Amino acid sequence: MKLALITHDGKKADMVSFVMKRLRFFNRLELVASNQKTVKILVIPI
Amino acid sequence: MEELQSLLKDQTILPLKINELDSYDVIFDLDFDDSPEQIQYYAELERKLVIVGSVKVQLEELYAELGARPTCTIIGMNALPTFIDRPLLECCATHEIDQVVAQEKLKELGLETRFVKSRVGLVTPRIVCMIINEAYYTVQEGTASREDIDLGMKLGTAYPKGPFEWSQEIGIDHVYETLEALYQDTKDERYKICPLLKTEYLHSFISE
Repeated sequence: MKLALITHDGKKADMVSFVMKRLRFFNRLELVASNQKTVKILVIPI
Repeated sequence: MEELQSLLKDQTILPLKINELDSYDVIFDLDFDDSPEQIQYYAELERKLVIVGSVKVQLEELYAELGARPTCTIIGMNALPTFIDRPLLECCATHEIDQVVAQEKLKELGLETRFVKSRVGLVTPRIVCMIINEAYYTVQEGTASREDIDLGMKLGTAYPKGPFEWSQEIGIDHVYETLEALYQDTKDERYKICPLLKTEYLHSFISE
């Protein structure tokens, strides 16, 4: 199963803060990634 | 980008090409609340699961603008900071079949879900943001200090965080925008934003 996580690249500082505030969630998906799954973080420039 | 990469050491960060969206089975757009126009790209996908952060928008409203139901499964989710880190993800679906498909697929990924009605504010953001708003009114009226309210709510009502502490962790922008979305949706006085909260929200855009 291929997963895409999308954050928007409108403001760089906001994007970093967005990820920092959700690190536990992202890390949960990292566990999924270690279980033969592909996780990619995609950035949409808007 | 480097800063983001250092936070997510083991992840690959790639710029998205819209035409590549189709090559993914599950797409999380946790930022969707602030860019709901992305619905046009997701709505055309087929046999995909798209999970979007949808506290400040109602999915039905977006579908109505599109004039049709999406061809893939789209569900909403409470992706606000602090809520997203809970063991259970608060989700919503506009159709039962979407809920069934999403629940099954997310379970496969080790993510437990609870579905609530598809409405602006969902359930927990609506309630928590209203409590925060009320706490701001209490301070504005001089009834109690922020510290006393935080302590009182934690010790007296066993809340995991005090309203001001929680507001800071969620982000004043999300709290304000959730309350504003609720007010615009319902025009109910209950959601009228406390001037003190609004002032702090506006200050957050002013660089020192």
